[in-house]
Amino acid sequence: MNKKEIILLLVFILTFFLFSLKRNTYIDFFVPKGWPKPVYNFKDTKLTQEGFELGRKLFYDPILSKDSTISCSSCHSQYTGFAHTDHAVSHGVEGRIGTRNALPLMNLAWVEKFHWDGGVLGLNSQPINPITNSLEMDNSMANVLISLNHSKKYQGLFYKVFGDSVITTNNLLKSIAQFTVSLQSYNSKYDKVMRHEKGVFFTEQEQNGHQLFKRNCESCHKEPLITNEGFADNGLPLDKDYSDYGRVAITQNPKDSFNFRVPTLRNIEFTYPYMHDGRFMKLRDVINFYTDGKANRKTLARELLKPIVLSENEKKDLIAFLLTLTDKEFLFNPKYSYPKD
Amino acid sequence: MKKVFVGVFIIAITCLSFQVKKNKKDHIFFIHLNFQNKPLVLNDRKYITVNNDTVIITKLKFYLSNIILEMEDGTQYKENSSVHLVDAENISSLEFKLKDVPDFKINKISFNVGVDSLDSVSEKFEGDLDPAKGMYWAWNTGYVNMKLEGKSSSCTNAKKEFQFHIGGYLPKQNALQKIEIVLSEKQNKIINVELSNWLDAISLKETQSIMIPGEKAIKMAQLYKNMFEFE
Repeated sequence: MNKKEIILLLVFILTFFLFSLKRNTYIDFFVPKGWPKPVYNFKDTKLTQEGFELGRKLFYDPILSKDSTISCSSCHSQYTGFAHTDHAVSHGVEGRIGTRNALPLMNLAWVEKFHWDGGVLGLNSQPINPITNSLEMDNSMANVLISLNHSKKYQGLFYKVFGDSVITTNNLLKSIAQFTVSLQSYNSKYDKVMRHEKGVFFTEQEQNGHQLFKRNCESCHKEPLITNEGFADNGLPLDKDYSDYGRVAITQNPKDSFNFRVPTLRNIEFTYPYMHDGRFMKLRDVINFYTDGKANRKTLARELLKPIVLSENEKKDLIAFLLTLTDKEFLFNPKYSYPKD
Repeated sequence: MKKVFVGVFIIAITCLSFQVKKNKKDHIFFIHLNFQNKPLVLNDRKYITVNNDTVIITKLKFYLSNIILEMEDGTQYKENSSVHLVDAENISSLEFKLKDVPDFKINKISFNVGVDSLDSVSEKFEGDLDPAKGMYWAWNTGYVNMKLEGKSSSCTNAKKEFQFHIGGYLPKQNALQKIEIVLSEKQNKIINVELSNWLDAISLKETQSIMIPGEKAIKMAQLYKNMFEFE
Protein backbone atom coordinates (compact mmCIF):
# COMPACT_ATOMS: atom_id res chain seq x y z
CA MET A 1 0.00 0.00 0.00
CA ASN A 2 1.41 3.35 -0.91
CA LYS A 3 0.79 6.60 0.89
CA LYS A 4 -1.92 7.69 -1.52
CA GLU A 5 -3.92 4.54 -1.01
CA ILE A 6 -3.69 4.80 2.76
CA ILE A 7 -4.95 8.39 2.69
CA LEU A 8 -7.80 7.39 0.39
CA LEU A 9 -8.75 4.55 2.69
CA LEU A 10 -8.68 6.85 5.74
CA VAL A 11 -10.87 9.41 3.98
CA PHE A 12 -13.25 6.63 3.05
CA ILE A 13 -13.47 5.31 6.62
CA LEU A 14 -13.92 8.81 8.04
CA THR A 15 -16.72 9.62 5.58
CA PHE A 16 -18.45 6.39 6.42
CA PHE A 17 -18.11 7.11 10.13
CA LEU A 18 -19.52 10.64 9.80
CA PHE A 19 -22.32 9.36 7.64
CA SER A 20 -23.29 6.70 10.12
CA LEU A 21 -23.24 9.27 12.93
CA LYS A 22 -25.81 11.43 11.20
CA ARG A 23 -28.07 8.63 10.16
CA ASN A 24 -31.27 7.92 12.00
CA THR A 25 -31.85 4.54 13.54
CA TYR A 26 -34.53 2.79 11.55
CA ILE A 27 -37.16 0.74 13.35
CA ASP A 28 -38.86 -2.27 11.79
CA PHE A 29 -42.58 -2.27 12.47
CA PHE A 30 -43.54 -5.46 14.23
CA VAL A 31 -46.54 -7.40 12.97
CA PRO A 32 -47.63 -10.04 15.51
CA LYS A 33 -47.92 -13.55 14.14
CA GLY A 34 -51.30 -14.30 12.59
CA TRP A 35 -52.30 -10.63 12.32
CA PRO A 36 -53.41 -9.15 9.00
CA LYS A 37 -51.14 -6.92 6.95
CA PRO A 38 -51.09 -3.31 8.23
CA VAL A 39 -52.76 -0.75 5.98
CA TYR A 40 -50.47 2.10 7.06
CA ASN A 41 -48.05 3.27 4.38
CA PHE A 42 -44.65 2.67 5.94
CA LYS A 43 -42.94 3.52 2.65
CA ASP A 44 -43.96 7.18 2.87
CA THR A 45 -43.35 7.45 6.58
CA LYS A 46 -40.30 5.44 7.57
CA LEU A 47 -40.07 4.74 11.26
CA THR A 48 -36.95 5.90 13.06
CA GLN A 49 -36.11 6.03 16.73
CA GLU A 50 -35.56 9.79 16.45
CA GLY A 51 -38.84 10.34 14.61
CA PHE A 52 -40.72 8.30 17.19
CA GLU A 53 -39.19 10.34 20.05
CA LEU A 54 -40.04 13.61 18.30
CA GLY A 55 -43.62 12.46 17.76
CA ARG A 56 -43.82 11.48 21.41
CA LYS A 57 -42.68 14.98 22.48
CA LEU A 58 -45.29 16.59 20.22
CA PHE A 59 -48.01 14.25 21.47
CA TYR A 60 -47.43 15.40 25.04
CA ASP A 61 -46.80 19.09 24.24
CA PRO A 62 -49.61 21.66 24.65
CA ILE A 63 -47.79 23.85 22.09
CA LEU A 64 -50.18 22.41 19.50
CA SER A 65 -53.23 24.09 21.07
CA LYS A 66 -54.30 27.68 20.58
CA ASP A 67 -53.48 28.82 24.10
CA SER A 68 -50.91 26.13 24.94
CA THR A 69 -53.17 24.53 27.51
CA ILE A 70 -53.98 21.10 26.12
CA SER A 71 -52.04 18.41 24.31
CA CYS A 72 -53.06 15.20 22.53
CA SER A 73 -52.51 13.44 25.84
CA SER A 74 -55.14 15.60 27.55
CA CYS A 75 -57.80 13.38 26.00
CA HIS A 76 -55.64 10.35 25.22
CA SER A 77 -53.91 9.17 28.35
CA GLN A 78 -51.76 6.08 28.30
CA TYR A 79 -53.07 4.39 31.44
CA THR A 80 -56.56 4.32 29.97
CA GLY A 81 -55.53 2.87 26.63
CA PHE A 82 -54.99 6.41 25.31
CA ALA A 83 -58.67 7.18 25.84
CA HIS A 84 -60.27 9.65 28.26
CA THR A 85 -61.89 8.04 31.27
CA ASP A 86 -62.96 11.12 33.20
CA HIS A 87 -65.27 12.42 30.53
CA ALA A 88 -68.03 11.09 28.35
CA VAL A 89 -67.02 13.44 25.53
CA SER A 90 -63.77 15.23 24.73
CA HIS A 91 -62.75 18.51 26.32
CA GLY A 92 -60.98 21.33 24.53
CA VAL A 93 -59.38 24.71 25.22
CA GLU A 94 -61.17 27.05 27.65
CA GLY A 95 -63.19 24.13 28.97
CA ARG A 96 -65.09 23.71 25.71
CA ILE A 97 -66.91 20.42 25.41
CA GLY A 98 -66.97 18.30 22.27
CA THR A 99 -69.64 15.94 21.07
CA ARG A 100 -67.92 12.57 21.00
CA ASN A 101 -66.02 10.25 23.30
CA ALA A 102 -62.26 10.36 22.66
CA LEU A 103 -61.32 7.03 21.06
CA PRO A 104 -58.55 4.90 22.53
CA LEU A 105 -55.36 4.80 20.45
CA MET A 106 -53.77 1.46 19.70
CA ASN A 107 -52.87 -0.72 16.73
CA LEU A 108 -53.56 2.23 14.43
CA ALA A 109 -51.49 0.75 11.60
CA TRP A 110 -54.55 -1.40 10.86
CA VAL A 111 -57.02 1.48 10.73
CA GLU A 112 -58.08 2.78 7.34
CA LYS A 113 -60.82 5.23 8.27
CA PHE A 114 -60.44 7.19 11.48
CA HIS A 115 -62.83 8.76 14.00
CA TRP A 116 -66.25 7.50 15.05
CA ASP A 117 -67.64 8.38 11.61
CA GLY A 118 -64.67 7.31 9.48
CA GLY A 119 -64.38 10.76 7.93
CA VAL A 120 -60.60 10.91 8.19
CA LEU A 121 -58.73 8.78 5.70
CA GLY A 122 -55.21 8.59 7.07
CA LEU A 123 -53.26 8.45 10.29
CA ASN A 124 -50.91 11.20 9.11
CA SER A 125 -53.73 13.64 8.46
CA GLN A 126 -55.74 12.77 11.58
CA PRO A 127 -54.06 15.27 13.96
CA ILE A 128 -55.20 18.17 11.77
CA ASN A 129 -58.69 17.54 13.11
CA PRO A 130 -58.10 17.95 16.87
CA ILE A 131 -55.59 20.76 16.22
CA THR A 132 -58.04 22.86 14.21
CA ASN A 133 -61.39 21.81 15.74
CA SER A 134 -62.79 24.79 17.65
CA LEU A 135 -64.04 22.50 20.44
CA GLU A 136 -60.63 20.89 20.83
CA MET A 137 -57.32 22.72 20.31
CA ASP A 138 -58.88 25.52 18.24
CA ASN A 139 -55.61 26.34 16.49
CA SER A 140 -54.70 26.78 12.82
CA MET A 141 -52.05 24.71 11.09
CA ALA A 142 -50.31 27.92 10.01
CA ASN A 143 -50.15 29.05 13.63
CA VAL A 144 -48.84 25.70 14.89
CA LEU A 145 -46.02 25.91 12.35
CA ILE A 146 -45.19 29.43 13.53
CA SER A 147 -45.06 28.33 17.19
CA LEU A 148 -42.88 25.32 16.40
CA ASN A 149 -40.57 27.26 14.11
CA HIS A 150 -39.98 29.74 16.95
CA SER A 151 -38.77 26.96 19.20
CA LYS A 152 -35.02 26.28 19.13
CA LYS A 153 -35.67 22.89 20.70
CA TYR A 154 -38.00 21.77 17.92
CA GLN A 155 -35.83 23.26 15.18
CA GLY A 156 -33.00 21.03 16.42
CA LEU A 157 -35.18 17.95 16.79
CA PHE A 158 -36.71 18.30 13.35
CA TYR A 159 -33.26 18.81 11.87
CA LYS A 160 -32.11 15.58 13.49
CA VAL A 161 -35.00 13.62 12.02
CA PHE A 162 -35.56 15.22 8.63
CA GLY A 163 -32.29 17.07 7.94
CA ASP A 164 -34.25 20.31 7.82
CA SER A 165 -34.76 22.70 10.72
CA VAL A 166 -37.67 24.44 9.01
CA ILE A 167 -40.76 22.70 10.35
CA THR A 168 -43.34 21.88 7.69
CA THR A 169 -46.85 20.45 7.91
CA ASN A 170 -45.65 17.25 6.32
CA ASN A 171 -42.80 16.67 8.73
CA LEU A 172 -44.93 17.64 11.72
CA LEU A 173 -47.63 15.12 10.79
CA LYS A 174 -45.11 12.44 9.91
CA SER A 175 -43.50 12.70 13.33
CA ILE A 176 -46.75 12.54 15.26
CA ALA A 177 -47.77 9.52 13.18
CA GLN A 178 -44.49 7.76 13.93
CA PHE A 179 -45.45 7.87 17.58
CA THR A 180 -49.12 7.00 17.22
CA VAL A 181 -48.54 4.15 14.75
CA SER A 182 -46.13 2.63 17.28
CA LEU A 183 -48.77 2.40 20.01
CA GLN A 184 -49.14 -1.35 19.73
CA SER A 185 -51.03 -3.61 22.10
CA TYR A 186 -50.59 -7.35 21.61
CA ASN A 187 -49.50 -8.67 24.99
CA SER A 188 -52.74 -9.15 26.88
CA LYS A 189 -53.52 -12.38 28.63
CA TYR A 190 -55.78 -13.17 25.69
CA ASP A 191 -52.82 -12.82 23.29
CA LYS A 192 -50.61 -14.98 25.46
CA VAL A 193 -53.21 -17.71 25.67
CA MET A 194 -53.70 -17.56 21.90
CA ARG A 195 -49.92 -17.84 21.44
CA HIS A 196 -49.91 -20.86 23.79
CA GLU A 197 -47.34 -19.20 26.00
CA LYS A 198 -45.96 -21.32 28.76
CA GLY A 199 -48.02 -21.30 31.94
CA VAL A 200 -50.72 -18.91 30.69
CA PHE A 201 -54.22 -20.32 30.61
CA PHE A 202 -57.76 -19.01 30.64
CA THR A 203 -59.73 -19.79 33.78
CA GLU A 204 -62.86 -21.82 33.21
CA GLN A 205 -64.91 -18.64 33.45
CA GLU A 206 -62.72 -16.78 30.93
CA GLN A 207 -62.81 -19.78 28.62
CA ASN A 208 -66.57 -19.85 28.78
CA GLY A 209 -66.62 -16.08 28.22
CA HIS A 210 -64.46 -16.51 25.12
CA GLN A 211 -66.96 -18.98 23.68
CA LEU A 212 -69.83 -16.56 24.39
CA PHE A 213 -67.81 -13.78 22.80
CA LYS A 214 -67.27 -15.83 19.67
CA ARG A 215 -70.94 -16.63 19.46
CA ASN A 216 -72.33 -13.15 20.13
CA CYS A 217 -69.73 -10.46 19.48
CA GLU A 218 -66.99 -11.69 17.20
CA SER A 219 -68.72 -11.12 13.87
CA CYS A 220 -68.04 -7.39 14.39
CA HIS A 221 -65.34 -7.40 17.07
CA LYS A 222 -63.17 -9.68 15.00
CA GLU A 223 -60.06 -11.30 16.41
CA PRO A 224 -57.16 -10.62 16.62
CA LEU A 225 -57.73 -6.85 16.36
CA ILE A 226 -61.08 -7.28 18.19
CA THR A 227 -62.66 -5.09 15.53
CA ASN A 228 -63.52 -5.59 11.87
CA GLU A 229 -62.57 -1.93 11.24
CA GLY A 230 -66.09 -1.38 9.98
CA PHE A 231 -69.01 0.89 10.79
CA ALA A 232 -72.39 -0.29 11.97
CA ASP A 233 -75.62 0.66 13.72
CA ASN A 234 -75.49 -1.17 17.03
CA GLY A 235 -78.98 -0.02 17.98
CA LEU A 236 -77.92 2.68 20.41
CA PRO A 237 -80.96 4.98 20.86
CA LEU A 238 -80.43 8.55 19.66
CA ASP A 239 -79.41 11.08 22.30
CA LYS A 240 -81.39 14.18 21.33
CA ASP A 241 -78.89 16.51 23.01
CA TYR A 242 -76.34 15.59 20.37
CA SER A 243 -78.54 14.44 17.49
CA ASP A 244 -75.49 12.62 16.18
CA TYR A 245 -76.31 10.29 13.30
CA GLY A 246 -72.69 9.25 12.76
CA ARG A 247 -71.29 8.14 9.44
CA VAL A 248 -74.19 9.45 7.35
CA ALA A 249 -72.75 12.94 7.83
CA ILE A 250 -69.75 11.82 5.81
CA THR A 251 -71.30 9.58 3.16
CA GLN A 252 -74.79 11.18 3.00
CA ASN A 253 -76.09 7.70 2.35
CA PRO A 254 -79.24 7.14 4.50
CA LYS A 255 -78.14 3.54 5.03
CA ASP A 256 -75.27 4.89 7.11
CA SER A 257 -77.55 6.60 9.63
CA PHE A 258 -76.67 5.63 13.23
CA ASN A 259 -73.53 3.96 11.90
CA PHE A 260 -70.47 4.43 14.06
CA ARG A 261 -67.05 2.85 14.25
CA VAL A 262 -66.82 -0.69 15.57
CA PRO A 263 -64.10 0.05 18.12
CA THR A 264 -61.48 -2.42 19.24
CA LEU A 265 -62.23 -3.91 22.64
CA ARG A 266 -58.59 -4.29 23.56
CA ASN A 267 -57.92 -2.76 27.00
CA ILE A 268 -61.64 -2.21 27.40
CA GLU A 269 -61.29 -2.54 31.16
CA PHE A 270 -59.73 0.94 31.14
CA THR A 271 -61.30 2.73 28.20
CA TYR A 272 -64.62 3.58 29.89
CA PRO A 273 -66.97 5.32 29.43
CA TYR A 274 -68.27 3.38 26.44
CA MET A 275 -69.99 4.19 23.12
CA HIS A 276 -69.45 7.21 20.83
CA ASP A 277 -71.05 9.54 23.37
CA GLY A 278 -69.66 7.80 26.43
CA ARG A 279 -73.08 7.06 27.86
CA PHE A 280 -72.19 3.80 29.65
CA MET A 281 -69.79 3.73 32.58
CA LYS A 282 -69.64 0.00 33.17
CA LEU A 283 -69.15 -3.08 31.00
CA ARG A 284 -72.26 -4.52 32.63
CA ASP A 285 -74.28 -1.56 31.26
CA VAL A 286 -72.94 -2.26 27.78
CA ILE A 287 -73.84 -5.94 27.90
CA ASN A 288 -77.30 -5.19 29.29
CA PHE A 289 -77.78 -2.76 26.45
CA TYR A 290 -76.93 -5.43 23.87
CA THR A 291 -79.28 -7.96 25.44
CA ASP A 292 -82.21 -5.66 26.21
CA GLY A 293 -81.75 -2.05 25.11
CA LYS A 294 -81.28 -1.97 21.35
CA ALA A 295 -83.53 0.26 19.26
CA ASN A 296 -85.18 -1.68 16.48
CA ARG A 297 -84.67 0.27 13.29
CA LYS A 298 -84.04 -0.26 9.61
CA THR A 299 -80.34 0.49 9.82
CA LEU A 300 -79.64 -1.96 12.67
CA ALA A 301 -76.62 -4.15 11.87
CA ARG A 302 -77.81 -7.49 10.52
CA GLU A 303 -75.44 -9.22 12.95
CA LEU A 304 -77.69 -7.90 15.72
CA LEU A 305 -81.06 -8.89 14.27
CA LYS A 306 -81.07 -12.09 16.27
CA PRO A 307 -81.54 -11.27 19.96
CA ILE A 308 -78.59 -11.80 22.27
CA VAL A 309 -79.68 -13.87 25.21
CA LEU A 310 -77.33 -14.21 28.18
CA SER A 311 -77.95 -15.47 31.69
CA GLU A 312 -76.60 -13.54 34.68
CA ASN A 313 -73.73 -16.00 34.96
CA GLU A 314 -72.98 -15.82 31.27
CA LYS A 315 -72.75 -12.03 31.50
CA LYS A 316 -70.18 -12.46 34.26
CA ASP A 317 -68.24 -14.93 32.14
CA LEU A 318 -68.27 -12.62 29.18
CA ILE A 319 -66.93 -9.75 31.30
CA ALA A 320 -64.24 -12.06 32.67
CA PHE A 321 -63.14 -12.73 29.11
CA LEU A 322 -63.18 -9.03 28.19
CA LEU A 323 -60.85 -8.33 31.10
CA THR A 324 -58.28 -10.70 29.56
CA LEU A 325 -57.92 -8.11 26.77
CA THR A 326 -56.09 -5.83 29.21
CA ASP A 327 -52.46 -5.39 28.18
CA LYS A 328 -50.46 -3.98 31.10
CA GLU A 329 -47.25 -4.05 29.07
CA PHE A 330 -48.93 -1.54 26.77
CA LEU A 331 -50.66 0.56 29.42
CA PHE A 332 -47.54 0.96 31.52
CA ASN A 333 -44.85 0.83 28.85
CA PRO A 334 -42.43 3.66 29.72
CA LYS A 335 -41.55 4.23 26.05
CA TYR A 336 -45.09 5.55 25.44
CA SER A 337 -45.27 7.74 28.54
CA TYR A 338 -44.59 11.43 29.08
CA PRO A 339 -41.05 12.09 27.83
CA LYS A 340 -38.64 13.25 30.50
CA ASP A 341 -35.91 15.43 29.03
CA MET B 1 -9.86 7.31 -32.29
CA LYS B 2 -11.54 7.12 -28.88
CA LYS B 3 -11.14 10.87 -28.46
CA VAL B 4 -12.85 11.57 -31.74
CA PHE B 5 -15.81 9.44 -30.67
CA VAL B 6 -16.14 11.25 -27.39
CA GLY B 7 -15.96 14.58 -29.20
CA VAL B 8 -18.68 13.62 -31.66
CA PHE B 9 -20.83 12.37 -28.82
CA ILE B 10 -20.52 15.62 -26.88
CA ILE B 11 -21.37 17.70 -29.96
CA ALA B 12 -24.37 15.49 -30.67
CA ILE B 13 -25.69 15.85 -27.11
CA THR B 14 -25.22 19.62 -27.19
CA CYS B 15 -27.07 19.91 -30.50
CA LEU B 16 -29.86 17.70 -29.23
CA SER B 17 -30.36 19.62 -26.02
CA PHE B 18 -30.26 22.88 -27.99
CA GLN B 19 -32.88 21.51 -30.33
CA VAL B 20 -35.14 20.50 -27.43
CA LYS B 21 -34.79 23.90 -25.80
CA LYS B 22 -35.51 25.78 -28.97
CA ASN B 23 -38.89 24.14 -29.44
CA LYS B 24 -40.17 24.70 -25.93
CA LYS B 25 -41.15 27.75 -24.06
CA ASP B 26 -42.63 28.93 -20.77
CA HIS B 27 -46.05 30.55 -20.60
CA ILE B 28 -47.33 32.72 -17.79
CA PHE B 29 -51.09 32.79 -17.33
CA PHE B 30 -52.71 35.58 -15.34
CA ILE B 31 -55.88 35.37 -13.32
CA HIS B 32 -57.98 38.51 -13.13
CA LEU B 33 -60.54 38.52 -10.34
CA ASN B 34 -63.35 40.88 -11.24
CA PHE B 35 -66.66 42.08 -9.99
CA GLN B 36 -68.87 43.63 -12.67
CA ASN B 37 -65.90 43.95 -15.00
CA LYS B 38 -63.75 45.84 -12.50
CA PRO B 39 -60.93 44.38 -10.42
CA LEU B 40 -62.36 42.81 -7.26
CA VAL B 41 -61.71 44.79 -4.07
CA LEU B 42 -61.93 42.87 -0.81
CA ASN B 43 -63.45 44.31 2.39
CA ASP B 44 -63.65 47.97 1.40
CA ARG B 45 -66.15 48.00 -1.45
CA LYS B 46 -69.87 47.37 -1.54
CA TYR B 47 -71.32 45.68 -4.59
CA ILE B 48 -74.93 45.25 -5.60
CA THR B 49 -75.98 42.08 -7.38
CA VAL B 50 -78.84 41.81 -9.88
CA ASN B 51 -80.95 40.35 -7.07
CA ASN B 52 -80.40 43.55 -5.11
CA ASP B 53 -78.15 41.92 -2.57
CA THR B 54 -75.60 44.42 -1.27
CA VAL B 55 -72.40 42.49 -0.68
CA ILE B 56 -68.91 42.95 0.71
CA ILE B 57 -66.45 40.22 -0.22
CA THR B 58 -63.98 39.29 2.51
CA LYS B 59 -62.48 36.10 1.10
CA LEU B 60 -62.14 34.40 -2.26
CA LYS B 61 -59.88 31.38 -2.57
CA PHE B 62 -60.00 28.47 -4.99
CA TYR B 63 -57.93 25.73 -6.56
CA LEU B 64 -57.07 25.35 -10.22
CA SER B 65 -55.69 21.92 -11.04
CA ASN B 66 -54.89 19.43 -13.82
CA ILE B 67 -54.14 22.13 -16.35
CA ILE B 68 -54.01 20.83 -19.91
CA LEU B 69 -53.20 22.80 -23.06
CA GLU B 70 -54.38 21.62 -26.43
CA MET B 71 -51.96 22.71 -29.11
CA GLU B 72 -52.57 23.62 -32.72
CA ASP B 73 -50.95 20.41 -33.93
CA GLY B 74 -53.39 18.34 -31.90
CA THR B 75 -50.94 17.37 -29.15
CA GLN B 76 -51.58 17.96 -25.48
CA TYR B 77 -49.44 19.53 -22.83
CA LYS B 78 -50.17 18.39 -19.26
CA GLU B 79 -48.66 20.26 -16.36
CA ASN B 80 -46.92 18.03 -13.79
CA SER B 81 -48.37 17.98 -10.25
CA SER B 82 -50.75 20.64 -11.40
CA VAL B 83 -52.34 22.34 -8.39
CA HIS B 84 -52.56 26.10 -7.90
CA LEU B 85 -54.26 27.87 -5.04
CA VAL B 86 -55.66 31.23 -6.11
CA ASP B 87 -56.21 33.64 -3.24
CA ALA B 88 -57.60 37.16 -3.71
CA GLU B 89 -55.45 38.28 -0.78
CA ASN B 90 -52.22 37.04 -2.28
CA ILE B 91 -51.12 38.79 -5.48
CA SER B 92 -48.46 36.21 -6.32
CA SER B 93 -51.15 33.54 -6.49
CA LEU B 94 -52.85 35.35 -9.37
CA GLU B 95 -50.51 33.92 -11.98
CA PHE B 96 -49.00 30.57 -12.82
CA LYS B 97 -46.22 29.51 -15.12
CA LEU B 98 -46.41 26.51 -17.40
CA LYS B 99 -42.91 25.30 -18.12
CA ASP B 100 -41.45 23.78 -21.27
CA VAL B 101 -44.56 24.02 -23.38
CA PRO B 102 -44.02 22.95 -27.01
CA ASP B 103 -43.84 26.09 -29.12
CA PHE B 104 -47.14 25.85 -30.99
CA LYS B 105 -50.21 27.99 -31.03
CA ILE B 106 -52.48 27.09 -28.10
CA ASN B 107 -56.02 26.20 -29.15
CA LYS B 108 -57.57 25.37 -25.82
CA ILE B 109 -56.87 25.35 -22.12
CA SER B 110 -58.71 23.13 -19.69
CA PHE B 111 -58.45 22.83 -15.93
CA ASN B 112 -60.40 21.72 -12.90
CA VAL B 113 -61.73 24.13 -10.32
CA GLY B 114 -60.89 22.20 -7.18
CA VAL B 115 -58.76 19.27 -6.11
CA ASP B 116 -59.45 15.82 -7.56
CA SER B 117 -60.03 12.68 -5.50
CA LEU B 118 -56.48 11.45 -5.99
CA ASP B 119 -54.82 14.56 -4.59
CA SER B 120 -57.50 14.82 -1.89
CA VAL B 121 -56.41 11.63 -0.18
CA SER B 122 -52.72 11.65 -1.10
CA GLU B 123 -51.57 13.15 2.23
CA LYS B 124 -49.19 15.17 0.06
CA PHE B 125 -49.20 18.14 2.37
CA GLU B 126 -46.82 20.32 0.37
CA GLY B 127 -46.97 23.52 -1.62
CA ASP B 128 -50.52 24.64 -2.28
CA LEU B 129 -51.88 21.40 -0.81
CA ASP B 130 -50.43 22.29 2.61
CA PRO B 131 -53.31 22.34 5.12
CA ALA B 132 -51.66 25.43 6.59
CA LYS B 133 -53.09 27.26 3.56
CA GLY B 134 -56.50 26.96 5.19
CA MET B 135 -58.29 24.95 2.51
CA TYR B 136 -58.15 21.50 4.14
CA TRP B 137 -61.21 19.81 5.59
CA ALA B 138 -60.03 18.02 8.68
CA TRP B 139 -63.24 16.24 9.71
CA ASN B 140 -63.93 14.83 6.26
CA THR B 141 -60.66 14.21 4.46
CA GLY B 142 -60.36 16.48 1.45
CA TYR B 143 -59.99 20.07 0.30
CA VAL B 144 -62.34 22.98 -0.11
CA ASN B 145 -62.43 23.59 -3.87
CA MET B 146 -63.86 27.08 -3.63
CA LYS B 147 -64.14 29.36 -0.63
CA LEU B 148 -66.16 32.57 -0.76
CA GLU B 149 -66.97 34.60 2.33
CA GLY B 150 -68.52 38.00 2.82
CA LYS B 151 -71.19 40.15 4.38
CA SER B 152 -74.56 41.18 3.13
CA SER B 153 -77.54 42.94 4.63
CA SER B 154 -79.67 40.31 2.88
CA CYS B 155 -78.32 37.60 5.16
CA THR B 156 -80.78 36.66 7.89
CA ASN B 157 -78.20 35.40 10.42
CA ALA B 158 -77.09 37.58 13.33
CA LYS B 159 -73.70 38.45 11.87
CA LYS B 160 -75.11 39.16 8.38
CA GLU B 161 -72.46 36.91 6.88
CA PHE B 162 -72.36 34.39 4.09
CA GLN B 163 -69.90 31.51 3.81
CA PHE B 164 -69.56 29.07 0.97
CA HIS B 165 -66.99 26.32 1.38
CA ILE B 166 -67.62 24.13 -1.63
CA GLY B 167 -65.91 20.79 -2.07
CA GLY B 168 -66.39 17.04 -2.21
CA TYR B 169 -64.98 14.35 -4.46
CA LEU B 170 -66.86 11.15 -3.62
CA PRO B 171 -69.12 9.78 -6.37
CA LYS B 172 -72.36 11.45 -5.25
CA GLN B 173 -70.61 14.49 -3.78
CA ASN B 174 -68.28 15.36 -6.61
CA ALA B 175 -68.16 19.16 -6.88
CA LEU B 176 -65.11 19.29 -9.14
CA GLN B 177 -65.78 21.46 -12.17
CA LYS B 178 -63.94 21.11 -15.44
CA ILE B 179 -63.50 24.29 -17.40
CA GLU B 180 -62.52 24.33 -21.05
CA ILE B 181 -61.79 27.55 -22.86
CA VAL B 182 -60.81 28.23 -26.46
CA LEU B 183 -58.01 30.75 -26.77
CA SER B 184 -58.44 33.68 -29.12
CA GLU B 185 -56.21 34.46 -32.08
CA LYS B 186 -54.41 37.00 -29.93
CA GLN B 187 -53.32 34.22 -27.59
CA ASN B 188 -53.92 36.38 -24.52
CA LYS B 189 -53.17 34.31 -21.48
CA ILE B 190 -55.61 35.89 -19.08
CA ILE B 191 -58.25 33.95 -17.20
CA ASN B 192 -61.04 36.26 -16.14
CA VAL B 193 -63.02 35.30 -13.07
CA GLU B 194 -66.22 37.33 -12.96
CA LEU B 195 -67.55 36.91 -9.43
CA SER B 196 -70.83 38.69 -10.16
CA ASN B 197 -71.76 35.81 -12.52
CA TRP B 198 -71.96 33.61 -9.46
CA LEU B 199 -73.57 35.96 -6.98
CA ASP B 200 -76.14 37.11 -9.56
CA ALA B 201 -77.29 33.50 -9.81
CA ILE B 202 -78.10 33.08 -6.13
CA SER B 203 -80.20 34.81 -3.51
CA LEU B 204 -78.33 35.49 -0.29
CA LYS B 205 -81.62 35.77 1.55
CA GLU B 206 -82.17 32.08 0.90
CA THR B 207 -78.68 30.64 0.79
CA GLN B 208 -76.04 31.95 3.17
CA SER B 209 -73.96 29.00 4.14
CA ILE B 210 -72.81 25.76 2.56
CA MET B 211 -70.00 24.09 4.46
CA ILE B 212 -70.27 20.40 3.62
CA PRO B 213 -70.08 18.30 0.46
CA GLY B 214 -73.32 17.09 -1.06
CA GLU B 215 -76.10 18.03 -3.43
CA LYS B 216 -76.25 21.70 -2.48
CA ALA B 217 -72.52 22.03 -2.87
CA ILE B 218 -72.63 20.45 -6.33
CA LYS B 219 -75.37 22.87 -7.41
CA MET B 220 -73.33 25.79 -6.16
CA ALA B 221 -70.28 24.54 -8.02
CA GLN B 222 -72.27 24.41 -11.25
CA LEU B 223 -73.20 28.04 -10.69
CA TYR B 224 -69.70 29.32 -10.06
CA LYS B 225 -68.43 27.45 -13.08
CA ASN B 226 -69.82 30.37 -15.11
CA MET B 227 -67.35 32.77 -13.55
CA PHE B 228 -64.50 31.57 -15.69
CA GLU B 229 -63.99 33.40 -18.96
CA PHE B 230 -61.06 33.97 -21.22
CA GLU B 231 -59.97 37.23 -22.71
